[in-house]
Amino acid sequence: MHIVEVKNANYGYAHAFQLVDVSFRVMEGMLTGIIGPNGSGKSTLLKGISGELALPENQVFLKGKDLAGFTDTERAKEIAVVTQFSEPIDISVEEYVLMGRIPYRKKYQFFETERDYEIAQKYMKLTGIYPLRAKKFSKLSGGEQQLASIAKALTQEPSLLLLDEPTSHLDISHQVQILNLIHQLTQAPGLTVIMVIHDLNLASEYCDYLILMRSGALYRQGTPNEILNFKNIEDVYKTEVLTQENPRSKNPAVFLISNKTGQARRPARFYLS
Amino acid sequence: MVTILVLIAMVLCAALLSLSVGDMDISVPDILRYLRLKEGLEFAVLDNIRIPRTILAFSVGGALSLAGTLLQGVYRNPLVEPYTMGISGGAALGVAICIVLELHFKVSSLMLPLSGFFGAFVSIFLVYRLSSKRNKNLNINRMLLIGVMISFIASSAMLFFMSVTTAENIQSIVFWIMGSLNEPNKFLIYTSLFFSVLGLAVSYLYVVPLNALRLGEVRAKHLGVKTDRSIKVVFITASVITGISVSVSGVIGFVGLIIPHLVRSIIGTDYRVLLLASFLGGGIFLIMSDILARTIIAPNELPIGVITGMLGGVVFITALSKKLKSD
Repeated sequence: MHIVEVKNANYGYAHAFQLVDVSFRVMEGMLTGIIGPNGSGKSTLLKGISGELALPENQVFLKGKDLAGFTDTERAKEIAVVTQFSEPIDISVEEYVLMGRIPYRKKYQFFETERDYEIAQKYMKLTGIYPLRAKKFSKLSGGEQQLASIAKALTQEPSLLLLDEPTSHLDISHQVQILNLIHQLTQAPGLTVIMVIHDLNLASEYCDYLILMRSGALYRQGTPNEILNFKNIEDVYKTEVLTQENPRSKNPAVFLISNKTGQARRPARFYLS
Repeated sequence: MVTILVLIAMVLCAALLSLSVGDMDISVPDILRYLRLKEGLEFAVLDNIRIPRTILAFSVGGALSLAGTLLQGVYRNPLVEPYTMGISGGAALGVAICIVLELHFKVSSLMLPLSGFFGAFVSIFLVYRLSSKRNKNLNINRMLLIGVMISFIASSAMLFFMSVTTAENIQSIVFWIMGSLNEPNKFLIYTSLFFSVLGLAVSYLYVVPLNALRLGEVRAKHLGVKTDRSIKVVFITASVITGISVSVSGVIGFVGLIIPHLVRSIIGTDYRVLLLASFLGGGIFLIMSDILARTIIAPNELPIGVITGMLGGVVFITALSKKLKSD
């Protein structure tokens, strides 16, 4: 069952960058990665779905309904977003996570309900930040802030989670911790996730499906095995790479070629069967 | 909740002190007695001078502080205050023109606040139109820059009018700019109070967006908050209450900058408490400043802007260095 369908999308910025007829479907409970070089339209694609960019009619569908017809609160109950960085604001982690309940507030309802607290608590426990709940959000480390942001997004109880480079500023232990968590979310509550990610190796290890963007258009889509070969990567990134199988996971791994090794152009390659 | 109750108690104490202190000292128990008696010189002093003045101090202080809190929240810039947006500049220019043309003598003394009001609204309108017309999305930084520029243009224009007028008029303009709570017209005072309280009520309709905006505009949008509309309404609310306060009592500085900071550093950034707390805090601060302004060199009166500037600055620096020590 697909939950998101993008159909000939060509939205973007007025008189500036726009997508070129992007079409794909996102299956329920899957982790879909959007990859591509800087300026290829990854973020634009994501911003249309997240509601940051105005969406033309009949280009993006969520559960079969045109997303352009959703009100802001309707959308926020279905789609939650985690950005790369968070504003380091001076409120407790619990208050921060509780903000995820804002879409569910009734008009003139100023205070959170008992249920709001329960939901926030549940997701703070799930993301492992419950012990930090009384700490100031601004005093958390980058990785902890990202976990709190994910907890806030989950507190929205969305059916679709969007992540914009959630790990690019973190060390490998936090990268793995956060991506493990996201993988776990697609398994247990069956959350559908779309993630913009720069690191091709992380994309390969974690994503079920990849969308490779080039100059605003969708270049290729498929499983990591289908997408992450040297040919696609060199075509899109204009950079020479080697690809090989990760001995453990059997997923493709991408190696960079620096000028330090002094190898001639077009060295022997390791083809992926 | 406790904070709010403490603040309300402080407002009452400040108000009683303000009613009791002056040329003619009236003790607190006497205040109630004279008010019940409704006659005599003491009652006249209370009824005609001190009560209106205290109400005006409360409503102007509350309005400016609330406007500062709202604008700092929307622009997420701690240096923004109500006057940054060109509102005071516009009002001052309006008043300067009125004085230069001597409209307040020729037509009515009400022309002073009216032209201040008019000037303030022209500048609000300009800031709003110039920053939101070009593209549909409101650009916050553009709004801020245009506000600062309008402020500069207005003050240059005011200097121009001052350079071509008589020394007497210059003095009137300068006195107006320094601000005063000495306003005999009760209608203006109650109008000011009405709009301050209305502004507080309207801004409470936007506490949830304001709280979400602490995350930044984009992340507030992700939570389904209509950021553009909220920013517009909050900006207009803050501008209207500032414009009215400035028209009635002149440019009283620092209240809108310092009280929001101080209150925020004590009670945190949750707008559900912060809005009311800074409103009350501003009221207390201006009532106390006014007491000082009219007692230090009694029977003469210091311009209230001098007191708020010095008192506010000193209090703020003290609070800041305490905070630095504790960090």
